[in-house]
Amino acid sequence: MNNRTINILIQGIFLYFLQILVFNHIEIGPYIKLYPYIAFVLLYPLTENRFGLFISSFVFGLLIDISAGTGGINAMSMTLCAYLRLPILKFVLGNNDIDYNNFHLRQIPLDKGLSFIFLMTLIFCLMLYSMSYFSTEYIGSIILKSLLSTFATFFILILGIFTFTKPR
Amino acid sequence: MHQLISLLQKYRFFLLFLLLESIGLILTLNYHNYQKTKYINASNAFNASINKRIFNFSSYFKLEKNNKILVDDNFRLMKQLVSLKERTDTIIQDTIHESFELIQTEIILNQYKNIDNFLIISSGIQQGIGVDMGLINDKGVLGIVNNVSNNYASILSILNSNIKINARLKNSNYFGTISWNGKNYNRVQIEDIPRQATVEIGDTIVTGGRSIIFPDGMPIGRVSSLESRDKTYKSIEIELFNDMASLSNAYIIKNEDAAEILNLENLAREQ
Repeated sequence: MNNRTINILIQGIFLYFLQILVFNHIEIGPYIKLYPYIAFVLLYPLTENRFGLFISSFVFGLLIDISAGTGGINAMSMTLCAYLRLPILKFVLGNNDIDYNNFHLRQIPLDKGLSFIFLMTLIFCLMLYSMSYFSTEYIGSIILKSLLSTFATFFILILGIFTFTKPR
Repeated sequence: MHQLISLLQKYRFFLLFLLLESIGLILTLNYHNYQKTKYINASNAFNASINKRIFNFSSYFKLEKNNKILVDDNFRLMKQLVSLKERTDTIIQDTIHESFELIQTEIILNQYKNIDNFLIISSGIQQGIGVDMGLINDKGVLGIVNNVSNNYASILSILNSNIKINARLKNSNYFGTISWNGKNYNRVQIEDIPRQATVEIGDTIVTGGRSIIFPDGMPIGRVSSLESRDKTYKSIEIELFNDMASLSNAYIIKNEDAAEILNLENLAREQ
């Protein structure tokens, strides 16, 4: 195993336990839940070969599902985020020339970095709550919970990412 | 063939994405089906053991609050005991048949924000818990056991869109069915109360006693709003007595006569 794989593994284990032991038990009001483990997809090294990202994000989501007894909703949401990460990054940066080898979230301009994190969190929450309710009857609750949880998770992610990663 | 391979090569990420999403969707569909049926998987046992540890740790911080709840509970029970004693002094004890037994337990996982919520308690088969027993606390009904393992049981919460509990107005004998619309975790709904029933805001709703799970008269909540659903029935919103976001101690209510009653019901159906 090279250094990069070990880093991904340690990051994944840390985020997994943080989510299931701490954030799965924090409830803010009736509508807000926090999902900072999405940082796994955000911080996963950028490569042209996206197989590793897809598989590890799916497995990570599935482990969260197994711990929380939620079927496959986290696995689906994480896989969607993994799939949309590159297109969203290109959209936010406004160009297709990304230096795959040296890319890091702290390297891009702050406003673009924040937009990227917010969009990814929003997609994650919308997918998660849509799959959780699995009915158009609850569309209002899905949108409300997704938006509120997105804002709360976004705030936690910003704090975490800016505390635990070094500026490049 | 060459074209097919190059096509697969071109769309390989999208195909992998579709494959993984399909697996996730199958698991999600099973999850939604499992909420409608009775099924417990390994994840619940794993989850339960983790939650038991978290519960043990966090319960230290709730000791003061729990003590106050227990003192209030004791006070209320003592008052009930005194009043019961007065009433039963004139009744010949031999005629009273105790069919319901209480088993003390702890809620180690409490979901209340999903559309289909579950509770996990730290008692299972070894403590005498079985499927279709009721879960209550001093303030009222919490749910129904839907599956058990050796040391844990999962409870279909009163905040689960699939739950149906027979209930009635305390002051009259009009019956209806408790259900939950998934919106507010402090409020459930009661359907099928006949339109002619006199209902006021603030009236108490209790269990109806038409099932083998709960005895008659267990508290549920009080009427918070009313509306006429159609020409025949009223739709009533009930504010639960329990704060569903804060649950710890509870009791399993076990009907000793359940098997006998079910047996009779089955015999009656066969005839």
